[in-house]
Amino acid sequence: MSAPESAMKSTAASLGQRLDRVFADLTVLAEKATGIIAPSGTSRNMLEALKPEVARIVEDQAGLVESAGVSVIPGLLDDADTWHQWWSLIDGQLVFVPHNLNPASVNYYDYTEMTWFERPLASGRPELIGPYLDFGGANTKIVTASRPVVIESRTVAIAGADLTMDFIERIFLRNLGRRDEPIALITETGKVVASNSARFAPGTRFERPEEHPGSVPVPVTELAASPWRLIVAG
Amino acid sequence: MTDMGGTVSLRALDMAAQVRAQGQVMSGRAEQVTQQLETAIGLGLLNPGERLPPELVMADRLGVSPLTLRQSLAVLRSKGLLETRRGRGGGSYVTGMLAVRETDIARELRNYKSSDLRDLIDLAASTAGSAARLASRRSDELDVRRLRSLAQRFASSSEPHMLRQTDARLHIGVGVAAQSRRLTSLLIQVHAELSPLTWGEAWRLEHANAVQGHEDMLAMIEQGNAAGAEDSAIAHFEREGALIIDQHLDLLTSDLADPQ
Repeated sequence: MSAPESAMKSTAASLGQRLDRVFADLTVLAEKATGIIAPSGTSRNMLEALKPEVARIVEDQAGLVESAGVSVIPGLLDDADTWHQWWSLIDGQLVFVPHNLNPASVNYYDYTEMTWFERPLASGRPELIGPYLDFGGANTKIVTASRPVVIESRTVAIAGADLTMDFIERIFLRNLGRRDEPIALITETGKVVASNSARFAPGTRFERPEEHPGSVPVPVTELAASPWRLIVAG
Repeated sequence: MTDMGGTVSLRALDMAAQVRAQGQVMSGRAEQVTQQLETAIGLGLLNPGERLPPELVMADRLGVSPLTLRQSLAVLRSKGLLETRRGRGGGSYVTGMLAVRETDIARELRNYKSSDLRDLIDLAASTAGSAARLASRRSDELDVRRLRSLAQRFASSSEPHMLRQTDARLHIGVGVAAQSRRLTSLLIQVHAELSPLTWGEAWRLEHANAVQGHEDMLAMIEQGNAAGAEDSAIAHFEREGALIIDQHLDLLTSDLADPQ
C-alpha cells in the first residue's frame, strides 16, 4: 500500500468513527423525543425536556457539534403548525435558537423544505447532508446529520445535529498529516467537504470525480451507502 | 520631517471609517478605531508626512467620542505610526509604515476559519471582477493612465510593505475607474481584510506574476473588453487566494501535527 493510500484509509476510518458517534447520539436523541411526543396532545414546550440530552451531545462532541435539536412534521403539535426545537452553543452557552416560522416573513425558515428534513422523512433512514450554507439558521457553511423520530412506525419528527466544517477539516488534516499530494474529501454529489489543497474549495463541486481512481469510502455504520469518500485530486 | 504630505483629506478619513476589522475579537470602540486607522495606514489611505485633521473633526468623522479617539491616537503613537507636533503647524502626523512581519501574517491567518478565509477570497475575486468589467466600459484615457501609474508603482516596488500598499491601491483604484462609489467602498473593506495576509515569505516569487496579472487586466480594461477584464481580474485573485489558502493549510497541518 502506498503512503498516501494508507494515510487516506486511516483518515477515512477516523472520520467514519466520529460520524458513527454523531449518529449514535442522534439515535439517543430520537428515542428521547419518541418518549415525549404522543400521537396527540403534544405541545411545543414539552420538547424543552430534550435540552439536557442536547447539552450532553454538544459536550461529548465538543467542536464538532455546536447545534442540535428536533423538528416536528407540520400538524403534529397542538399549539403550533410547525416547530423547530433546536439549541446552539453561543459563547459557551447552550441556547434555544428562535427561528422565524412565519410563512409571511421574508426571513421564514422553512425547515420542512430543507434537505436535512426532507431526506430522512422520505427515506426513513439517517442521512448526512451538505456542506451547504444554512442561511437563516446557522448562517454559516455546515454539514447536517439527521434521522427520523418514529412513533408506531410513523415518522413524526426529525432529529438532527449540525457539524462544523472547521472540525471536520481538522480531523481530515490531522489524520492525513500531509500536503504533498492534493487529496479531497467529497460527497456523493462530488461536493468538496475538505481538502489539503487550495485548488479544491469546500462546497465546490468536484468535476468528474469518477476519473480519479483509488477512492477510499468513509465508512459510516448507520448509513446504507457511504456518502463521503477521499480521492487523490491531482 | 516637513509637512510635505499636506493634511489628510476628509475623504481619506471616510474611507478609513469604512474599514471594518473582521476575524478578531474587539474589546471596544477605541480598539476598533485604532485598527481602522492602522489598516488605513497599511493600505496607504493615510501616508507618512500627512497631518491628521483636528481631533474633534476626526472623532466626528469616525463616529466616536473625542476621548475614545485620543485613546486610539495614543496607541498609534506608541506604535510609532503617529507623532504629535506642537506649535504652528502642530497636530498629529502620520510617521510610520506598517512593516510586513511573518509572525503577524501567521497570527492573522490562524484567526481565520478555512471557510471564512475562502469566503473572503471569493469576495475579493468577485468584486475585482465586477470592478474590472465596469472599468472596461467606463474608463477613458485619463482613467487608464491613472491605473497604469498605480500598476507601475507596484511593479517598481520591492519592499513587502510597499508591495502590499501599492497592490491594494491599484485594486481599489479599479473601483474608482469603474465609477462606483459602493463598489469602491466594498473594495476598501475587502482589501483592508486581505492586505494583512499578503506579501509575506510565501509570496516571494509572486511579484512577477502579479505584475503580469495587473498588466493583463489593464490591457483588457484599455481595450474595453469587459469579459476579458473580468476574467483576468478573477484569475489574478484566484491565483493569489491560493497562496493564502495554501499557507493557511500549512499552518493548520503543522499545528495539528504538533499539539501544544
